[in-house]
Amino acid sequence: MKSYTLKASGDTLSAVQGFLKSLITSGAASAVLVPQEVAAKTNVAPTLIRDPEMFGSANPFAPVSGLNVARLVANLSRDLPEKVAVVLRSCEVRALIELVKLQQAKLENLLVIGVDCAGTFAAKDYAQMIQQNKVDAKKWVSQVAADGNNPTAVDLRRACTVCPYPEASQADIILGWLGMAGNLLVSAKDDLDLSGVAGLEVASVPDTRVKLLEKLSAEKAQAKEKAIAEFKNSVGSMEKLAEILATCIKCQNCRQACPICFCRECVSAGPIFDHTGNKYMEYAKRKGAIELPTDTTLFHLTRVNHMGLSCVGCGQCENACPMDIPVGLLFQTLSEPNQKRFDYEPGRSLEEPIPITVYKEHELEELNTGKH
Amino acid sequence: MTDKKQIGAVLVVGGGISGMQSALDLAESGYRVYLVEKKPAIGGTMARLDKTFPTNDCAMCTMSPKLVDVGRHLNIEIITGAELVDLTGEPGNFKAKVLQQARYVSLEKCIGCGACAEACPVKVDDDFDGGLGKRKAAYKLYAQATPNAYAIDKGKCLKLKNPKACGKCLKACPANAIDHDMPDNTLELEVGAVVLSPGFEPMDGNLREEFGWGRYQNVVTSLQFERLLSASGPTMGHLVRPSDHVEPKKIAFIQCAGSRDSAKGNPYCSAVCCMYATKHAIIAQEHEPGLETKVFYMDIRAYGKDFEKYYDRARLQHGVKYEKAMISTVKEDPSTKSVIVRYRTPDGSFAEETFDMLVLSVGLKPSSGNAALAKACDIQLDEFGFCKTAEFTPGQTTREGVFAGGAFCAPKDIPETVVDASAAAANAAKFLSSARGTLSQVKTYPTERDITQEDPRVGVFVCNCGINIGSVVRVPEVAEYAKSIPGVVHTEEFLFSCSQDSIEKIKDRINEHKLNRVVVASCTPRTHAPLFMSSLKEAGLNSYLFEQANIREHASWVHRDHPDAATEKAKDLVRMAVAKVKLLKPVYTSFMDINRQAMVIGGGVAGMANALNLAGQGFKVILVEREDKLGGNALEVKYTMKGNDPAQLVDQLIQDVKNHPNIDLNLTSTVKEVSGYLGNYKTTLATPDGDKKVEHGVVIIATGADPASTNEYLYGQHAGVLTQRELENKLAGPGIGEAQNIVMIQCVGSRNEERPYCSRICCYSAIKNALKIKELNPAANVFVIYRDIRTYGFYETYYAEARKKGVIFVRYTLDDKPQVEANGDKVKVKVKDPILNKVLELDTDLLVLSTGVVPAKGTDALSQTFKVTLNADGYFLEAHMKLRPIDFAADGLYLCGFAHSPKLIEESIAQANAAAVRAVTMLSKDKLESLGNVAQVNPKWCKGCGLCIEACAYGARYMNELTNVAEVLDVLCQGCGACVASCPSGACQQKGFEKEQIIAMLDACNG
Repeated sequence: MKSYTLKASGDTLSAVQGFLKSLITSGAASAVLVPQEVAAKTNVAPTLIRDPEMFGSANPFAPVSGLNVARLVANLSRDLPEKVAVVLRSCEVRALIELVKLQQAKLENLLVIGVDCAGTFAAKDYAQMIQQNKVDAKKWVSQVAADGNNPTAVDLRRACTVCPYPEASQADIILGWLGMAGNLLVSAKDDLDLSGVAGLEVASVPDTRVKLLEKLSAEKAQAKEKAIAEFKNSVGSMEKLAEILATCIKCQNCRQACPICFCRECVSAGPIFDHTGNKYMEYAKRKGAIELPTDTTLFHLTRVNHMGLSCVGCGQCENACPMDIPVGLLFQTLSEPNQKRFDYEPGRSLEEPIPITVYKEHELEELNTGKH
Repeated sequence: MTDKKQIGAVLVVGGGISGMQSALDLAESGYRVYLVEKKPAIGGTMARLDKTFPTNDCAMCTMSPKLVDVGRHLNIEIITGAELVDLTGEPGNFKAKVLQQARYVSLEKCIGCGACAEACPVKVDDDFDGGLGKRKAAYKLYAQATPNAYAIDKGKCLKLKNPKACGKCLKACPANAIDHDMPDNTLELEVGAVVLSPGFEPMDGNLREEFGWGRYQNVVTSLQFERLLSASGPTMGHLVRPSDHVEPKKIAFIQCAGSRDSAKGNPYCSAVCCMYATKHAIIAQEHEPGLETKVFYMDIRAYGKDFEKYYDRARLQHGVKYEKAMISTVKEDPSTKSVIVRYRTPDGSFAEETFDMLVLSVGLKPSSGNAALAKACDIQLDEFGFCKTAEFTPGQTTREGVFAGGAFCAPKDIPETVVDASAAAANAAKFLSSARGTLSQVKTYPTERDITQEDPRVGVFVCNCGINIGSVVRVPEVAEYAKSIPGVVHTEEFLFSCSQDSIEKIKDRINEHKLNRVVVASCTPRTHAPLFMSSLKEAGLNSYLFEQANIREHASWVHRDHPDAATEKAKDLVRMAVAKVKLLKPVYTSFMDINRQAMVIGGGVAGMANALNLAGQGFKVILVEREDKLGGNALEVKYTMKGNDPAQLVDQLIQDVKNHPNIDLNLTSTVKEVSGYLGNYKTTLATPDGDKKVEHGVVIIATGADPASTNEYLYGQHAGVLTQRELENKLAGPGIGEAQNIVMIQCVGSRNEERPYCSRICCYSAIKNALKIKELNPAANVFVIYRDIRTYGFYETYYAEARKKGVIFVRYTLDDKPQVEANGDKVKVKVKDPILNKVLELDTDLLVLSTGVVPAKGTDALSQTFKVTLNADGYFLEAHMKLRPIDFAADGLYLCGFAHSPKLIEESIAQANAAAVRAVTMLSKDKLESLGNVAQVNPKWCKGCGLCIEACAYGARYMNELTNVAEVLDVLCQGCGACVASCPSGACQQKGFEKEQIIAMLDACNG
């Protein structure tokens, strides 16, 4: 990685807008996909910008996340005729890497720009905060850059509170603001040519940043372990798990919001689970009483089974749940031991194959004692 | 050869794993096969084994599919209880006289129920169990015997001795199969070639009388021990001492019990005992946690592929102790019946240790019938009584048209036996290639009824299996219950569903009741589904409209003491089978044309021998060699231990390859790009004339290996230090001048952490070259500093000869390696002699290093090109270490020579021929036919993630680049279901196991 600073003199937003613009004008990319503030400022929408003069509302720092953009990037990346820069947070970059491994996205014409993230608010919370002047997207970087702490009284999305990845370290270009004291860090992969981009000065990564990132990462990793341990305790049995999932209405919003779930149609929506009266009555007869809709636990467990190894913990499933079921936490709790077992960290590297595709004659010996 | 017509049939003598493999290869290559076996069932020694090294696979589990394949093959006729007694005529057109002893049980009628054995009053020591268990005079050789039928022991049956006596079996047999008046029978078979594979016999336990076998109850032979470990053995796999049936806590193994012993007439090494003893120790510990095991040995010969790793695992992981020692006495403690072993340790002191059991690792000796067999077919045996063959024509007996396989030629393990068996088949197939397909048969069936518009009409047949099911499960109740299941229109009870008359009845009922689905509730589909499915086919029904409920293994056998629950479970199983069968659809196999050319990569001895065999069988071969000349590693071998000249062999092979019209030779060429799969490869070669596109149906990888180098022991720094190969070059050329003192160090860079495997050929080479030095200069002093001398098989005799001629062998260990320093133009070698217990200082003129063998450069890249795997040591990995040593997991790819693992020239040739016949089993087919229950994909749901492609071990899934759908190549699919399990979208389904069908079963189970 080569590192530069982008002088911002306090106005990081203008500086980053200028940087993105110059990506187009210098010919490094034909367009940029970046969050842009909606007119009311109450949210951001991922926006594909081709006209270099239209970056005025672009704001990759606004601390709100209503969807994981990796899924959109996957669609964009197929048959993409020209180079497009996509500005993503760590959870989005990591999801994109998993989608590449799952052959749902192609990196050929993408320039992946990862921007620091100290956590985001849920869309509905953010809108309210804007209306009540409790947050200012323009000031966010200057308020948070020094310590990474949430300056407001409103909670971040739960997933963000346990996310140990403040930096999107797998991106082609990292846009860093944490620990940068009002400036912007631009770290680019060695083979990238940024000579046409204005305002860059070669610099090394300041110590303040390195230390802050380490601290945030360690604290949140610890918070994650704690959250998982607590949740594990609360779902110690099948009955308790079913209890937590009892209010699930099988709307499939969680799967819709999941950046990894790429199936055309979820098997749980297919003919296997499409029961008729005969079946319902049979089930009811067997158990005496059944809750409807059926198969809710099976639906979630199937999803974990299919996608757990690739779960990047972005938590969008949880935000999408209309019944406030902690699906994201459930997912992380169930996936983590499996990811650890195979020493697999989703999104860490393109070189690491998804464990299900790797066959080893001798593995999981603890499950295979050779005794009959 | 005369102008007489060749006969497209082959007689295979001996039905062990060797004979079975030869028979299958020949039958699959277009020949009719008569498989003659002396015993009442095929299976040979492997059927008696518990587990196999180095994978610890269950022997029977890996072998039984082969038993079934042989038993059901249309072009293999099994003739049991029979021996070849005369072979007349000429090569290509033999008349074989086969004497078949009466079985006294009709094979056609016997249903294998065991009622005769149950009723038989005569108990006999069971040879199969090494005499540890008992069987009856009416008996089946072993549970999974093929043919699955009983026989009567002529010498033991009371009625055969006195026609008025006994006859209890006659009354007990429900199938009327017993006939005490059955005569012996002489068969005259016309065959074009003969393959002899009579196998071996274990040496007698009392060959080394002093070890106490036969006198002390707790001294057993290794074969007896094998049976004690086996779940089908006399103690049902419960490891106990014979004297008191108590679990042993401490077991000793004595190696070379009868082998490497010229006093006992067996100067050779039996080649397998070190590894099977290691296996015994490991498996025994699994039976009995905390068990102590100790192996007394002379040299541990872990020379085969992955053997050293297995030996390491035994020592390091399982704590098996290995003690290099001479046994001086074995005594029994009369009060405990424990065994006291007194032995001499390498330092000359004596030690005594008490064990609960002692296992003698007895060697392999020639079959006692070898002399008679040799006489009958007019071939010669060697000095030990094994079959005589020449070094460079392995498997060729002294009579043209008569070939040999397996342990008939020398003691050897299972994979090498399988290789030899395939090689013998290859030789026979090449010899008879003009008669291929003239006598093989194809079965025809009636036209299939279209049932797709019919509502399910299920017939349920419930089996009593004699008393196997009927004595526990109330079969009439199950049959009655089945009538109540919606969709069932007919139910019936059979005493034995698999008997010929029951099969006929099933066919009749299909037509009478217009059945369009069939359920048989009986035993395991693994052995019996093919039989029932073919009865559907013979009745004009698609054979896949069948489901089997296993109410024997899954109900009566496991719930013997709970007849009520077993009956209810049987009903559940029937209900589930009916639920599934109603949803089954007709399944059709698909066919694919095959390109009949082969591509052979590598022009060493293996590649050339392979290409010539294929070409000789009439197939076109594209031979690719990256160097500008043929010959490979063999060019560097100047002479063999047996005194033959490899140069002559290589020259002959080169000449034959160059002159063969079927071989397209590409020198200085490499494989650049490969697409396609079995039957339809499209390959681009990089040749000196530019890219060349070739098409072929199969690939044989024979890319060899490279000599290893070293920077240890002053190699490259001192002119007096050279490798074994460099020494050989000198010995064959300019000589070694005035050199009087020569020291060789073995295992340089081998058998250590970086390169854990044994290179197999170094001990051979060292002794070969030591003998050569002694031949040139008897006064020379030759020291071989070694860890274990691994002159396996007959090469042991050369080791003995070297010692006799004064070559001095000094043992070292990895912890105490020899020290080397330059001393002018000489080299000083310091090594601790464990016998003298002092450091020897050897001033030597030449220091020769046995540096071993490493995988060839480019092996990694080639493995990726063909998507085949390598083992941990970097050699190509075969489909199965025991039974498929030359196949890759994916059909159409084969392997031979050094690329598989280090080996000698004769072994490479055998493997090359074997790989040829394996390829021919594909190339000789008109079309490739897929299995029925293959995976399928619904393109509407597939998102092209490719997980299935990675999950498939057979290369049967590929991405259609146009549609981005992962499709299935039916002919490559083995129906394992891995892709189905990996597909998150539910786009993959496996025919016969579709999700809807499985869920219907589950619902029926719960409902």
